[in-house]
Amino acid sequence: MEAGEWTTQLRRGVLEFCILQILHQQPSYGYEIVTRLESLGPLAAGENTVYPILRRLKADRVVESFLQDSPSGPPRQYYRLSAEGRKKLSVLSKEWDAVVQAVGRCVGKGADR
Amino acid sequence: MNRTVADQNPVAERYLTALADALTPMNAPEKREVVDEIRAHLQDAKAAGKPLDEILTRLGSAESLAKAYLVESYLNPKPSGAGWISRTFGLFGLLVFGSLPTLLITSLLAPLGIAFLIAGPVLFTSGICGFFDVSLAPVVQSDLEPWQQIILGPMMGLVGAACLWVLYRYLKWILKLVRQMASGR
Repeated sequence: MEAGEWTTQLRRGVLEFCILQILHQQPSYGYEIVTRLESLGPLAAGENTVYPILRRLKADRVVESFLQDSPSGPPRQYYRLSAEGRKKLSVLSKEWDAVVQAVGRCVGKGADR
Repeated sequence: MNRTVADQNPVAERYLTALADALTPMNAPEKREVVDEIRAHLQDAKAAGKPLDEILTRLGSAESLAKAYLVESYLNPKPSGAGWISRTFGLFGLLVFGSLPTLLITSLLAPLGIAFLIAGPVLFTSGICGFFDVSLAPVVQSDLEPWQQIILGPMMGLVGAACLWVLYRYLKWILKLVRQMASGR
């Protein structure tokens, strides 16, 4: 597996988590979320990945949407975490910490050899 | 009304039309929401100074974008819930046909269960005390022999526990039915 493909696989798993983290900080709209992810380098995901995920999170009632006027054109659809979304983020954060610690230990052991 | 990039540019308009066509399996309101969101995206990206062809290239073809939406929907299908009218009728039916049995079952099993659950151990204790010629009167007044009380006591306790268990299961089942009806699943 190429490094790029590996990064893609890895990103796919954490993208939802990162979107929830972004929305936890403040409500946001699609383009802003895409550019925030873009600024994070390896987490940059195409619009054709982010928008469908947002749609699914909304169908799942993990996020809620509302319309807000935009200075550049038609009203934007903003997203914010629902109560269920905050619970999910809390669970995912714990899972993420556990995974990071486990990988850290694994990498550490590898380095000790 | 604000004029958008799509209103002003036939290429963008064609893209959004193709997207709407490719989203056919979705219902009309959902489809409109998706198209509006991508329309707003075009507007935001254009306002950020990006050329339209670059924006469209990044979005991918209308068909592939629609496919990505549909795949996400397919991965997480919405429950095919009943509408509010059938939910209301369902709850009403449950109220009409379920109230009387629930009232009868509850008013029979609850007092019986509680009474037997208390009386059983008391009778058993009374039987044990009877063997040592200790009377629990006037708390316990029974014409039964101590050995009969020792046998009957635990049996009554078991019957009481069984009554309460059946009542618990029944109420749990009713609550589950109500929840299912209310959520329309």
